Amino acid sequence: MQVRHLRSASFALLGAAAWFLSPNSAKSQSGDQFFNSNGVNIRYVVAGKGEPVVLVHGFASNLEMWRPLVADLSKDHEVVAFDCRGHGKSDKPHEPAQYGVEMVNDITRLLDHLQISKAHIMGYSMGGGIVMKMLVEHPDRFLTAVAGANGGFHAQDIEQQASLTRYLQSGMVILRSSNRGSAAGCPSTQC
Amino acid sequence: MKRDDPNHDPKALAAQSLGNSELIVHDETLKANKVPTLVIYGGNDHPERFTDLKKALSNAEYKVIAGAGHAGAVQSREFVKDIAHFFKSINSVTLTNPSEVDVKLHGIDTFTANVHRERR
Repeated sequence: MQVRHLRSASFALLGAAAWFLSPNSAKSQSGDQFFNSNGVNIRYVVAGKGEPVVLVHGFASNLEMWRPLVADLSKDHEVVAFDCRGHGKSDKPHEPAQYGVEMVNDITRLLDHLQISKAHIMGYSMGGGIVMKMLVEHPDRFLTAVAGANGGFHAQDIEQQASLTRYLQSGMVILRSSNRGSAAGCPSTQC
Repeated sequence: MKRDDPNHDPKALAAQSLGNSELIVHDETLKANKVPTLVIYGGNDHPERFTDLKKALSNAEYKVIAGAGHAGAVQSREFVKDIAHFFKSINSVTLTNPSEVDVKLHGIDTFTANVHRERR
């Protein structure tokens, strides 16, 4: 029975790897999973096997930003990438109270959902700020921490975001040049 | 020009930004950190922002990707190599039962394998 499961898992690995490696968005949807995080549906995908690695993307981006890294890491890690609430295919509440520490809680709930006690947890830009907060609040859930382009949110960062927030509240979308890297998902350095 | 996320909802992003005040981290709270930590950023991404952090989180490893900006650093080959090197340099996993292989399927083509996982 176990051998059959492993064989199934091998095919599953190929499918999951295809999701991350393929630029075809239709294929990317086949690996989508969702879980309920205190009333908010969160999309996630899993690929590879080994020590678990959880990836937290940047502002106004989604889990697709990790494609180059996942292709490498999933060779010897179980990689879990998810859309932060308010992003990608996850639910998008409009109430500020639904964000903040709830974005940290989404990670701990995702770990619980997948029955993972500890993981390498990596964030970039906004995701890096979330990881730094989680490092203070839940250090017991980390194997290691990686904070990319963000050493933690500070009061001055919040002040600098005020104009961007007003812009978004007016219903304006964020546009950026297609010839610039946008994977970090942030038009400023402080998101 | 292109929009980064086709599912972009400006009002949700505004709400997210307003919630960031709950995510503020005071540097002194990081001084007790015992988790192996890597901080990585582009050399053109305002590196001065990390000066105070280096004092508080002095046991972290810091990597600077020369010539890279905010968005470019994460897309660089050097970023991928630095992450892989960091993971390999950390021997952080204690196997509770190395012979255990517990595979469970999630949907059609994704799965998790618990070979190196500590059960809660």
